[in-house]
Amino acid sequence: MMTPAGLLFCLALLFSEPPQFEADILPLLTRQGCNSGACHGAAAGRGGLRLSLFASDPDADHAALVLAHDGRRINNVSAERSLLFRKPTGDLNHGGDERFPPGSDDANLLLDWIRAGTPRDIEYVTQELIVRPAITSVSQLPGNASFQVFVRTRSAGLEEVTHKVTVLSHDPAAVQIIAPGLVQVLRSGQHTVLVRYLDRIIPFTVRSPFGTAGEQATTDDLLSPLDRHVNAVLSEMGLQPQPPAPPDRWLRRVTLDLAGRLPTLREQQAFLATPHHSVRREVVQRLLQEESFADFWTLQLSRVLNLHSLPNDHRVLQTSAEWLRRAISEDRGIDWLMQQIVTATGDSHENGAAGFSRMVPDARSHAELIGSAFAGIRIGCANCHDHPLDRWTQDDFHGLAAVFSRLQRQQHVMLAQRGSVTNVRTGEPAIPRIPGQRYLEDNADHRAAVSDWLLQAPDYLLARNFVNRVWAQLFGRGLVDPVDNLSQTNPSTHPELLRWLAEDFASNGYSLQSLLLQITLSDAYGRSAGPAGTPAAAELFFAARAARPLEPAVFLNAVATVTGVPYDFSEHATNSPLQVIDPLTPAPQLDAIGRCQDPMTCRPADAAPADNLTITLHRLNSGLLNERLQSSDGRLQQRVQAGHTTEEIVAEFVQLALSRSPTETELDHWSRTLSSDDPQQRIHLLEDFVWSLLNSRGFRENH
Amino acid sequence: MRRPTSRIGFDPSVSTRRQAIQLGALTAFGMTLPQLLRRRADAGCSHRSTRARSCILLWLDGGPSHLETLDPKPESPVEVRGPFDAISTAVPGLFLSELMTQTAQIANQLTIVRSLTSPLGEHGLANTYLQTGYQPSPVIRYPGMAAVSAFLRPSGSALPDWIAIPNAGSMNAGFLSDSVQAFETGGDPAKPDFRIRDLDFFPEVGLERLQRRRSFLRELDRESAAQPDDPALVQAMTLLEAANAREAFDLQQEDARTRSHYGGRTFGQSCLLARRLVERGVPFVTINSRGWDTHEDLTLRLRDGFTGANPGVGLIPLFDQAFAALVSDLDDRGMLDETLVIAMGEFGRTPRINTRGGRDHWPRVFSAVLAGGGVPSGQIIGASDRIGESPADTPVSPADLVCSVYSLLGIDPRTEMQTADGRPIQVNRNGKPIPQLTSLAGE
Repeated sequence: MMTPAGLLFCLALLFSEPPQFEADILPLLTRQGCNSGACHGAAAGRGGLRLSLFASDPDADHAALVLAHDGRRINNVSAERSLLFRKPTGDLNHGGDERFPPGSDDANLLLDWIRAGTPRDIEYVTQELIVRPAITSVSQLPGNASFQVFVRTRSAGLEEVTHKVTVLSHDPAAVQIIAPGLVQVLRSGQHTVLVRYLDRIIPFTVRSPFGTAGEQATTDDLLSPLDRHVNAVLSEMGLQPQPPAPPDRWLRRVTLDLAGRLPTLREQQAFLATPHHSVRREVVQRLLQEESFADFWTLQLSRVLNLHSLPNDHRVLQTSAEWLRRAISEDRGIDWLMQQIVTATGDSHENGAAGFSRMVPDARSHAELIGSAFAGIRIGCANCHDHPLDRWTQDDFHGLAAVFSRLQRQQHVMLAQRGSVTNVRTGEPAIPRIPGQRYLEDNADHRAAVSDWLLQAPDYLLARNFVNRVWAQLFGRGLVDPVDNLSQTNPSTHPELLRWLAEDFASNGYSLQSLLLQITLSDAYGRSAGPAGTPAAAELFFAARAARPLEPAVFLNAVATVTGVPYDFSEHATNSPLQVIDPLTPAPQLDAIGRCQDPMTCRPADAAPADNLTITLHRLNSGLLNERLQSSDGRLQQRVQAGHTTEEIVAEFVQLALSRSPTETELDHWSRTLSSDDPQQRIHLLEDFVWSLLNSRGFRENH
Repeated sequence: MRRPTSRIGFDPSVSTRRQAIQLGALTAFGMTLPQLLRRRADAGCSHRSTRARSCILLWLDGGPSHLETLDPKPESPVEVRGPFDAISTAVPGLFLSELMTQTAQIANQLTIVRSLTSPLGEHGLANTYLQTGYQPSPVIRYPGMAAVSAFLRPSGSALPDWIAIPNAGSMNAGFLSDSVQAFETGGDPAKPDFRIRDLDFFPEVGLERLQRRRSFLRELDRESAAQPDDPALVQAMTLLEAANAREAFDLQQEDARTRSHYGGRTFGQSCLLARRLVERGVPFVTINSRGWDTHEDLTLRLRDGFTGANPGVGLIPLFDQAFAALVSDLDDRGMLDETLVIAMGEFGRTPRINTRGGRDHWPRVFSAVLAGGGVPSGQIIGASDRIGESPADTPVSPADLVCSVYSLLGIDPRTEMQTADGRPIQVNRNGKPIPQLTSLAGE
């Protein structure tokens, strides 16, 4: 049976271990890009050869390379004449050109493996991929950072594979890969390099401080754990925290962030009289009890949960929105809320929790929504192939979808006797599965198991996702950004803070209100924006407050308050822009200034887009503001009617719109500028002034 | 997030976006047009003479089928060939889909690229690649061609430098967003009451009061932070101050014959509006045409438009009429040579018809068509293989195509722009100009 050549190589094998398919050849294919999406890893393969994306399916790959077409890709007699060797080494015409020359290490590895009889080690299954260190600092630029990669497999235990992995820098201008296990860092900041081996991918994080000068952020015991974590990162990054914002700034900020409205004149006076820290707590607690708070956070959560109207059924949106609002105002735990939504059945006109299942058309969309809303993951990426940048497999995604496959999404939400989804990988009905963990026994209602999975320690998927979303809402940027991409390969700027916050949130009964209290009373939240020229990194690491435009609903709410003329959203049966939930029902005044109207693409970041030319033009030159300034019922015309002086009017509007007292100089300046003997001209001047206030950055931004 | 700090890094003599905006704003204060033109000439960034003054990008969103439009395969089996035949054109040997009758007649004025190839078959990723010439990156949002052009080649006219009909859709300004914005017309140019919202002054608040408001606003903003003027605000004011802005968008001023020549529906009238804007000096107009993601029923979606329509009013006949009308109208007016017209989408469609009578995403080979702008016409660049599955000849990457467009517009592809965090980014990095497109264009 054995050829002479084979015999020779068997002798050679006595002296060295032969390469194995799983341990050597698959990493080679990944390293050389053969199984990438652009080449044979594409769903349709390429040039007649199909490999699994990044070697996620070794059985299929071995079959494709060794067995397919009666083994024509392998020449057992003369390894050099194998198609598998001649194509990538450029001997035969290859769509992907020459990948490695004959005589190179990879070429020899491939030859050795073919000569050894294309052996497999099916026990070589990755259990864990480890990079050491996972995170490191480089103080001098440019500077080098090195790392080692280890894999734990069932057959070989723990071994170093630094030379076999594929390393990818997303940002070559910041980090360049120099050699196996060695990168050069070119820019300050936190950078991520991805390390791929077989079916696993993990990040290697490099930090390089922005400076060393100046005071270090303190991390002493007087600080809350939250601030200790934030300040520890600031010290490491060489960033100096900005001083606290003035009390009036803080009050405006927290009122806008929690209740989506401006502080009233009375609130300003009361707080500024005694702006102590203990009073801040009272202010926040009062805000959390408000109707406006419940409205605003219902709006935010309704976006995350994809709440929208259904054709021919208006009740379901209303019922679900009311249910959500009640849960928020009663501060029911977010764990409870999630459990209810995930496991609900019943009449969606009566049980608000049941309506959420109707916001998606089918089981796969349901799995995607569960993933994004409750875990912040993009598990739908694992539809056609295993998630290329995270740990989720096709079996995970289709298995999660299978849990929801029997759900009937009609007015009466219920589980049918039958129903399945096809696992795209196998072509068979998917087996219900808890992603990343275990298969579930068929034909039971496994939705409670999904809910348990989202609550499990130590991952705390729900808690991590939720605290990150809330953080993003309050700071303009998540600890992981974007907030719907909590993947292994998208590390947090503050991994320890995120872990601590999530665990703390979970152990405090998932209370949204406690979380908001904790964050808004922190030093990090209370910082000032910093002078012009403050580096972008200061905002990225929360050394300085990032000014953000008010989102459309909050902007209109604030305009209505200042002008004293409410808006009318008749299609939504409300005057409050915070109660305009349904993205699919037009709300012309909000839509014209950039309200997100497509529930599938509404991302948190889109809630407050920078105003573009079209929106700016509308703000400048339409009735949006003008009608409210000219209205005889409005605050401005009423004050003029009542005979208020120009100075009084300026003072009132500045205080209301900018939430601060005007300075003497300002009052003096505007009183002179806006004065006229002609009453009509004076009214015009005052209108122009208030219009300018409403268009000013000081008003349009939360800073 | 940081406010605009984008600037050009390669040549200190080049005017920045902001300077240019200020120039535009000066019209209101008495600067004459010749002065403006002279300033603009001084500020020109081109390292060579250029013919393409303006660009019209017809973005066929969703990925138009190359096999049903510019690259038919009449000889192949029916599951590849699809439901339509091919027809000969004004260029001997060039065949187009039978649905492209008008385009066929002006084929000698076109250049067709049949060997575009990309690895990205997902809409979002592919949009970025085709519109920016860069594959998407998690750390940098690259700006599209329209935004780069508006940033580097501001016209100095009162009309916006990038007008999007009816909206920008997936096209965006990436990291230039703080400085450059599309002006979206909104509405439907085919409707008789089509007009641009918010260009007419609100009762009692004319230009004089708006300018006073602007000066009040400047005082208030100066007080709150030492930040530069909001570019969108500057542009909006410039537009309101422009005497001809309303007129530029008024399709009623076109004669009935011209309007019907383009086709009375949205896409046709959008193309007509684009020509009107280019005529008035707008350097970049994009039209977002949606619906090309035809996973099912090619006959209905591409030819008929609705069941039983005769003649068909599907995507291709409407495109065909409008595109051909646009090219010939530009030619008749002597504007074709200085106006580059491009029609493309983010990828092509699968060579084999799927079970639903449609075609799925296929980026490995697809086509784009260009006209005017000094591009040598009547040529076909590259070829796909027998069944339109892979490039057979002269593969062209999206980066190459975008690089060529920049060259045609007189923008040096090596020009550096800066992101908000000070990172230098070349206008185009991985592309090479396609010689057949750019060789005669001005060298």
